[in-house]
Amino acid sequence: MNTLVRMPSLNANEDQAIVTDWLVEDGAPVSRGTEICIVESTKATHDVSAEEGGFLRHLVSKGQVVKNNQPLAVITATSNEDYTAYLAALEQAESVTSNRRWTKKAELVAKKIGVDLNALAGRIPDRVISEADVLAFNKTAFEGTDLLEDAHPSLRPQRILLIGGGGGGGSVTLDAISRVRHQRAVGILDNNAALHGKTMMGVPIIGPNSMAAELWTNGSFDAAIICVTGKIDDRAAIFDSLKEQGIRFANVIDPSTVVKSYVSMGEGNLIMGNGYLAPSCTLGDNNFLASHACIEHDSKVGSHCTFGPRTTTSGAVTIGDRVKFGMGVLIEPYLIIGDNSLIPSGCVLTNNVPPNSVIKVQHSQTIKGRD
Amino acid sequence: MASYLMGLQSGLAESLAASEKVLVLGEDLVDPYGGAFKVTKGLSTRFPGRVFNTPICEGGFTGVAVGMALRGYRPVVEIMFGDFLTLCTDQIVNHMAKFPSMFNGQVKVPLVIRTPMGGGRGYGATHSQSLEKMFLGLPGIKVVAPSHVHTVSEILQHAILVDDDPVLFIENKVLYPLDQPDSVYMEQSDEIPGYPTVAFRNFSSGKPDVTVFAYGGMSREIVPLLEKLHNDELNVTAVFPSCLWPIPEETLVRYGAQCDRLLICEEGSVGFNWGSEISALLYDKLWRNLNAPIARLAASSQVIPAARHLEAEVLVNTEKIEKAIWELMS
Repeated sequence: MNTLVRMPSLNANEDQAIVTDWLVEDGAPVSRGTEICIVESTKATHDVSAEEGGFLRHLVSKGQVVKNNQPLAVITATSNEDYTAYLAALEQAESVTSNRRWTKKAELVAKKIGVDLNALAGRIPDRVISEADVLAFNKTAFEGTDLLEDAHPSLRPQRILLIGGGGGGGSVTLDAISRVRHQRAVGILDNNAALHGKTMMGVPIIGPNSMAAELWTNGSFDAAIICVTGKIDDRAAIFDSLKEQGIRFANVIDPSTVVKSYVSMGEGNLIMGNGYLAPSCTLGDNNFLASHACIEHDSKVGSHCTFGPRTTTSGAVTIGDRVKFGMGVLIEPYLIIGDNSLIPSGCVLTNNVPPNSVIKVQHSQTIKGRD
Repeated sequence: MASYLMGLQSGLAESLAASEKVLVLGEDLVDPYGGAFKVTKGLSTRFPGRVFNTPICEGGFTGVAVGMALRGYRPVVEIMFGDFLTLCTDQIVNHMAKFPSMFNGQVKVPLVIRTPMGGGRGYGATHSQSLEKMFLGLPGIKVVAPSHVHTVSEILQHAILVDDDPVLFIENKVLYPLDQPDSVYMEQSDEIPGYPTVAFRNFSSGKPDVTVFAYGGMSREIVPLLEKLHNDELNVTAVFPSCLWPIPEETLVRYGAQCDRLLICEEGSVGFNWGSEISALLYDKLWRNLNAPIARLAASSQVIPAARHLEAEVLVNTEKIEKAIWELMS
């Protein structure tokens, strides 16, 4: 058993001292408490004693300046014992070995987007892995899993999966999500196989809509939103099927839309920019409101409806389920619009619409060449 | 390369050479001792009759200096340790700060009180504090605390020779041996004339991930840390105002607006400190920009221990700052 004797710290203002004399010869026996050497700071001299008995082996010579806490001597258990391996082991333990394989920023990004750094380090053996390496790896190897390990999951942004988001509906949805802090798009599903493996606004298009169940089971997202806006039946069918599998839906609302007091809505509603939801209006589930849609006070909207840009209801209008509005539709107060109706662009509704109606609007428009 | 200490020495010497009205007073300043931290070393020899040793009576000699300033001198007082400012606080608060306005601007008090603050040296409870927060916000004075990124010689000369307001000049004692660091990514802004704010960056282009606001001795911890964080691909701007009071508001807000994660560090204790006021300012102007609450670091609310390892637990150090920065990022 070896014991190391170190330079003591003698006063607050000095980090070194001089060994002025050895009181015990190199190799001579010492007992516990034997004074072995004298060290001197600018203010005082100090006797250093042996903490254990054994044989004293000098590591520094008389007159040498030694930094505080650096070794002065080793006390070996037996005479002439070889202590070189002991010192080497000590030195190795104290030296800071730098064998890191990635920067801290790379680690942070990898954790956030779910990249396995050890796997990446295997591919890039010859240098420190950077943030750019992680992002490039992520592009090729995204598995649709967001593995953010977060001590406070309630505080992290809601992770949104876009269903049928490969087209225009997806891009407006991604834009709306990018403008809020409480949600974050983590992936897009779309049945167009040509899009798989590509990205939109940096978000990967992972696979067909049918992958949603698997991703939900893996905990890869917190809520879904449907971006299909053309066919209402498709939109409703996807919603019902995912609900059956227990998947939760988000409401995605562009922050430029004004939501007034006492507005209530279900889930899965996608509301684009510059909309206006007046006080006490109600929305069901899975509605799509394009930009500048206005639902006035006390109006009620059912579920699975789509509203084209600039469609406006006046106060206390009641709208059923699966109603499709074109662009710029205007609806007078207190009217009732029945389920499954189709209302074309530019229509001004002045009467109630029974369920399953199709409104035809007579436009008279002629286009002539200029004289 | 000139150290912070050499900068102070030359700032004093240049001031004494520039004006006959400059006098220096304090305890043990005269050669051969030359002051507890050697800031006045050589001055009494070079400028005979203008550097005075005083009795151990801070209230008395500070009062003498206030009187000299009223009568047209530009005295410099050294208080051996900032902890002893408590002994001359009546002169500072009720006399030095108030005379110009009480006499309707007919008198000036162009006085500089220099004093070392700060811990990290194992000096214990009464020689390690950062008490400048007691004087922040006091009407009628400036509180200046340059870091080692500043050209301290010029700042001291400005305070002595140019500034007609009374100035409390804080020197963090751990800075004395440090050389002014070089950086190509350094900017200086002069919102408060003579007392520049220096911004130190560890990146050449792009935007900072984190912006750190700090002053005085914190630069010793932060400047080397920036190099380390650069190797970890983290862009950090460190903003060091040399003037704590009044606040260079526009400058601090301008740097704060460049970034959505902000950290404020100081060596003094938590509670009603510099960071309280700076964070209130930044929240007021920038709350919409922020991605996280402003993080703040200060010494814990304790008497500063003498044992080095316990002192390190109480005070802010590099490890704590680095940890706070990564917490802001995650």
